[in-house]
Amino acid sequence: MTNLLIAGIGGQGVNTLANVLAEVCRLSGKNCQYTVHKGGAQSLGTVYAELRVASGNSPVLGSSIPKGKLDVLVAMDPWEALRHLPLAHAATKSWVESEIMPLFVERSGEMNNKTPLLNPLRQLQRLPLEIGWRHYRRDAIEQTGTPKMANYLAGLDCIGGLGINDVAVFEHIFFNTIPASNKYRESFCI
Amino acid sequence: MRWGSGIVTPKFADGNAAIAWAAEDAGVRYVSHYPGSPVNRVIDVIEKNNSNNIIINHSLNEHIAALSAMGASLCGARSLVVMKHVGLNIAADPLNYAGVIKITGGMVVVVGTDPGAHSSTGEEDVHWYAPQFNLPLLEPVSVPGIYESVKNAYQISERIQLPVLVFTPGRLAYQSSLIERDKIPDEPALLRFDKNPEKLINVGKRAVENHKDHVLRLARYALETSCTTQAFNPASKYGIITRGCTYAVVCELIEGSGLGEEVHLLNIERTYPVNLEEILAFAKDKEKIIVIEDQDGFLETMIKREAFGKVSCSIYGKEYFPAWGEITYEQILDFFTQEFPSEFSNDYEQVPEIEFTCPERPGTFCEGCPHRPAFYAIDQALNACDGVIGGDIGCSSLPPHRTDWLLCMNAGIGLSQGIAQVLPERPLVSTGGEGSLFHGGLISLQSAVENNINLTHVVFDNRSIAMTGHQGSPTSSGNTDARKLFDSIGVSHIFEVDAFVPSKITHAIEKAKSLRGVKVIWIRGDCALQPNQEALRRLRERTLAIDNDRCGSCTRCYSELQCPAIVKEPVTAHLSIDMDRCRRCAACLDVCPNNAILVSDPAMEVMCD
Repeated sequence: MTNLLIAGIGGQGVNTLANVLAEVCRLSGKNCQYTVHKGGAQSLGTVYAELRVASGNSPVLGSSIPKGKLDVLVAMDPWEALRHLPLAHAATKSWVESEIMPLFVERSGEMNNKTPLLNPLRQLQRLPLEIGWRHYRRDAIEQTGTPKMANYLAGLDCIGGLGINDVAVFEHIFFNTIPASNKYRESFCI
Repeated sequence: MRWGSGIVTPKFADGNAAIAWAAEDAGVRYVSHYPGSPVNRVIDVIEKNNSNNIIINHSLNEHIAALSAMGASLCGARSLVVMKHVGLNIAADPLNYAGVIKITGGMVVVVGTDPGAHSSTGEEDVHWYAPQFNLPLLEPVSVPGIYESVKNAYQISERIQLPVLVFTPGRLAYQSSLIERDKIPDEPALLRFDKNPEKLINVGKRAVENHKDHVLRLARYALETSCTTQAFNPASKYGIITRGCTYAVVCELIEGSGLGEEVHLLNIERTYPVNLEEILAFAKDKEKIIVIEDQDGFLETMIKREAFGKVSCSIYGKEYFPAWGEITYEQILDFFTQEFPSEFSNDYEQVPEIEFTCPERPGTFCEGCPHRPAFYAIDQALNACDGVIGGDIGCSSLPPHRTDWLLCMNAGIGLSQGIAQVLPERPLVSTGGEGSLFHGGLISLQSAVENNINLTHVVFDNRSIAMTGHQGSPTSSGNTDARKLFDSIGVSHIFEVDAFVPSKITHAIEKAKSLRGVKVIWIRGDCALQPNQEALRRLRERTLAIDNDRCGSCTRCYSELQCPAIVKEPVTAHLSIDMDRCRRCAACLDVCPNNAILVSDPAMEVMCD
């Protein structure tokens, strides 16, 4: 069993990426199920997807990744990486976006009279975990002119984490699942 | 009925799609619903590729949804009703009578439950309605299980001429697994309505006879049919009973720990009515039985009720597991670790010692959302005088939670009336979206008129049931003239205002405060995620920027309007507009006291500064 968690916020394409990855797993002969958690808001709130990929034909069971059983973490925001760290174990592979997305408690007055928030990057750097720092958003903007394709770059790390080496299958499914992304296909030199 | 043939390639589906596919494959001809998470996407899936020409009733509330489906099933059509758990409260009145009318077309009521309140204002346990309605209740354990259960529910429904409830928790509704579809090649039933006063004029002696027939029909069915599946060691003295989502977690833990020889697991899929014979057979040689389930302990209660005095072993449940929140893997693991310490002493992987702080990020209004400037304006009108803001559910309830309560649908307009009557001097507005208004708020508004209550009600009209996936509303269809409606029920003053000009909203509320009667502040502004032609034009042609020389650093746009597109530079603390995020609504223009927002728009006559 391999447990993968994609963390982000509404509007970053976490749900779509989970959908793509499940299909890639299926085509790679892996038994997979996934659950998307998106809360009530249409955008900007915490969103995450849990993928549970079984070894061989063993069934995938509970929908949640248990504490200490997270094998791969791909986070499109450092706060969202922190949020799911209780699930991690000492050998969890992690890739984390280094750009911090807006956090609204900082401007709403809810933090008044409370301990100031510690920078999530510094908090992550202090932890005994190996983290691959990423610039999904910046790289997507540089290559395509829009941050929307950041989930494509995060997806490449996800399939790497799952041990799926056939990038062409991922690309095929990604661009077929999200037709609007096809105009950026050339930008990634595919 | 023949089930089989027509198997197609497995495809990924979430619980919502599984419900929709099952209904399609069972030959459903009529669907009614009121949108609500976690089953908000079922109708989208059916509507997207409605090759069976299923009739869809986009009901304005669950009461109508339930009754209309009962009507269709009385005529022989297979029907599906979809609603969230709290919607069952609204549908409860007709569903109390659904058992006596003897439907001829199968009727399935799918209810999205929400243990943990992930997408609701509460985690109310609606299981108790099943014995109240005296209708069968199925609880699948997986997404493929949902597909099979919903199809199976039509067989059950037609066999005993009762609607069948199927509960789907959020965990399964948003989980995706592979499903193999299996279409039913049945001939569609001939649709007809037969007059039958014996069962449809349900009063007096007939009501009692119909009730008796209903009770006995279901009791016979309960004893004749199996409602369980078993796993692991039947010879074990230790029994575990599960339902719904807990089954998968318990199986995973037992298999992962090699505990299979130590326990005997019984999953009950039809949790009402249970088959007593099956329960007694399972309990016969057990010394201890634990019921592991989310929420109140419905199944535990049903089992104890049925098996009272008939089993010798102890049955436990809520002594070990809480009645609130979802039952987690970790809670069940802790329980097993105490019960079977040798098998579970070292289950956790090596977890690094980590300490960190991470605030909740609950989401907020989108950029360009009409609720943002509307609430800013309400704050401006009421904050200084400590006014009360009555809140309703839906997108207007999103953080930063500017209302004074967030409970059930139409709690804004309802609670406010009592407060307005006992504290007439306290400034107050009630609020609610147009979806809530047509769900039941209109009656509340008329009730306020009839009771001469001095009330200002704010209607956020974004022409969409936005939070649950942008289902249409009467103001988007064009079929309903809201102004005439307000006029005709006796609303004394109607203020129609643009959501993106908060100063005008504030002015309207101030004016309404000085008037007596029931006043409606009708705030119009389309959902940012459903942009109209003008919104799309603005997005293409309008640009905005902040002139930092004029900016007085009052931060109203940043910390009070709280537009996500307005960002603060970390070093200089200067504010700027992130044009990747900005939807060009220009609400910030009206908020800025220093004219520091620069707008360039060819549609405007002059360049504003």
